[in-house]
Amino acid sequence: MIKMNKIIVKENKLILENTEILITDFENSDCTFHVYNNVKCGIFSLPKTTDFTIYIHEGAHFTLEFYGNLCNHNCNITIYNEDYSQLDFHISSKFTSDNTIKIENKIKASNTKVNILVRTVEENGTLNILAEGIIAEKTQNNEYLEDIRAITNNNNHIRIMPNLLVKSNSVKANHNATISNIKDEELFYLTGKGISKESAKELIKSGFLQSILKIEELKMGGEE
Amino acid sequence: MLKINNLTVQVSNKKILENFNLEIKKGEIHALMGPNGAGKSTISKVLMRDLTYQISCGTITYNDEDLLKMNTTEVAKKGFFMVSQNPVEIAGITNAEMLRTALHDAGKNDLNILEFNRKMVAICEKLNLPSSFIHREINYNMSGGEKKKNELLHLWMLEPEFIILDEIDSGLDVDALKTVANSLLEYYQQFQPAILIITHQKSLLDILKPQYVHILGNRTIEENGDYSLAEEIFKHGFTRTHIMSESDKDE
Repeated sequence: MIKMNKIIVKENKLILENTEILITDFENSDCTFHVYNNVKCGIFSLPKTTDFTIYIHEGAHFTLEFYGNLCNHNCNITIYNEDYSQLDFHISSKFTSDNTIKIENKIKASNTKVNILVRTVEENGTLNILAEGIIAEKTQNNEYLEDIRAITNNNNHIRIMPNLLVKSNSVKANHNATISNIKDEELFYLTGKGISKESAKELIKSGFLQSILKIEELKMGGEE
Repeated sequence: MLKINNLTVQVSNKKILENFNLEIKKGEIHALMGPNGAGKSTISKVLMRDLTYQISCGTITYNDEDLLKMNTTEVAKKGFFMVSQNPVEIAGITNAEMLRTALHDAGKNDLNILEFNRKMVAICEKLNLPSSFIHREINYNMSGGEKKKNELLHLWMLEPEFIILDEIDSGLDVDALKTVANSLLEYYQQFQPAILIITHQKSLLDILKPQYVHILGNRTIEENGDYSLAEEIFKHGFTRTHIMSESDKDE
């Protein structure tokens, strides 16, 4: 895997083909990704305002993972898929202050697979997530999953809006949104092994965030 | 030594145990038996300080310290370890991460990472588990048998001195049960912990051979004996002594 401390993309266009890349600091607020073949991209840090457009070209498989902290972030991500493409998009983040994530995916192609998984943990802040998936008419054999979960101390601080509009009959589509506190049974289990309540809470939160990550180097990079 | 005196336990104003008394010394194996709904599992949760269970009367001391003044972490640090019939699954946290944190919090982090891994591998072999279990997420996506063995992996690493086995024999096939029971026996022979087995099955007791058997009914211990009492129960059932829990009576 190629490791980069910082990436600045010229003319806001990043072409990725058959590569694995780990980016510590993504500088561009505005960037268009073009993805060919198999690409894995892990990102630790995003600019406060992020406007990403992602084109996953025919037959490509793109794994995009973000594992870091959100603080006053406003992220807009628009995804376009071509036939036989696959996207695994995972956002795993603690958040403070006020944040917004908007993911928009209009699927006009066929035989695509999309997995959008989001895991967030409230530290002390607010988060609005809008995940909008539209499966267009006359498309076939698409699989689409949106699964967004958050751990919070106060449910008022998180708003999740998973919108899924399916206009085709030939699709497997699923969406889920959950906001919950740390489960008492998990806390009891870990404290029953002699772990302090505070350490147990931290373990549960970090496990929750890491549970969706596939890029090992990203997991091992840990939190800031 | 564990001493439970005159204990009354309730959940949402409903009495589960009443006037419950029990003493367990280091190196002793006790079996607590009783029909479904008699409150057997309640005592394991109370000992591990699950605050869902309210103590309205009585005392519990361990080595003359008041257990009821401790929280779950403190009880575990005193050497208590519970294996339940359906251990919790926690995605994202590996066995190694959890155990290193537990050992660190208990002040037992004298093993370096290589020694820690070597010990984990040796225990996995002993339990017929692949060494990949070191980095498996806690009980996540494991079969019933794997979960119990995984709990024993934790047990061998944390080396507790008071073990509570809450119906761990449920859902185990013959081979898994033998592996689990023999591993517990080996641990017992090596460390001489106190063990409280909560069960109504024969197989585990046949291998661990408790020296003391207690029959729970009507919210309290109604009969005490040695292993022959368990054998009698297996032969004739709990009704032979007309022991029946209130809930069973209601049914």
